[in-house]
Amino acid sequence: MSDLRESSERLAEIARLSLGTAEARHLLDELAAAASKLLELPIGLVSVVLSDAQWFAGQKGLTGWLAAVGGTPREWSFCSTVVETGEPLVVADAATDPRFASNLLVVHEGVRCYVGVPLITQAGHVIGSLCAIGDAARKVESRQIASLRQLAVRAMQNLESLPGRQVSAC
Amino acid sequence: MSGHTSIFPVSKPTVASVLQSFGGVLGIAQAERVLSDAAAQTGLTLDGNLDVEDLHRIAAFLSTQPGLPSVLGIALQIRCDTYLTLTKGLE
Repeated sequence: MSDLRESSERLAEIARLSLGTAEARHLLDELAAAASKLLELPIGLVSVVLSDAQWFAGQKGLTGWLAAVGGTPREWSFCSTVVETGEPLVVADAATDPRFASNLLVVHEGVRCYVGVPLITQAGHVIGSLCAIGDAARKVESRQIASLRQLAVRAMQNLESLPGRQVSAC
Repeated sequence: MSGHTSIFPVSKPTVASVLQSFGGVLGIAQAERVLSDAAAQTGLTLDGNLDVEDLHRIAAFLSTQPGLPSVLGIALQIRCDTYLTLTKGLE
């Protein structure tokens, strides 16, 4: 499958989920809060990775300009890596991780710890990441990652059953 | 929050960069049609003179449309908001 087709199909799936409705937003904010609590980290996010940006469709604990803008360019996104691999991503200390040490969110916004798991639709598209973020390095236990994955699976089931979801014409 | 682009570099959205981004999803011909139609709907003409505020208006219109244009519009809004916030500060 070409990148263009894969990208179009994944984005069309995101559009069909109608994540901007009030009901979806409430559910996504609750999900972000649950991720923050589960990982015992100050920020929880439901980041939907779009073609050119990540969209914080649900958030807990985010402040400042990132909360106001509600996302970032995709090239700054840790969650983009989760979408590209389809696997959980754990960064215990971003400042010493060569993959992320020069990331602008690490250098200028103080991101240190990141734990994210993929949000996967029934059709198999990875639409984004359920993640928790902290400003201090720390270890994450495997049971916490497993619990976050379970939370992400249940969340996608709930999102895909929301009444506002658009039905594909295909 | 004041702008702090000197320590936080951020690329400026332009018509060319948006066409390239949308073209990567829709194909360039369809991307030009979608952007031209959205510009017309917001009282603009799609050309290289459009600034970031113009692109933000186009993005806001697209984000209300069904299907792929909605998610492309949200992404463009975020890129425009990021640039405007980090270079000019929040209104």
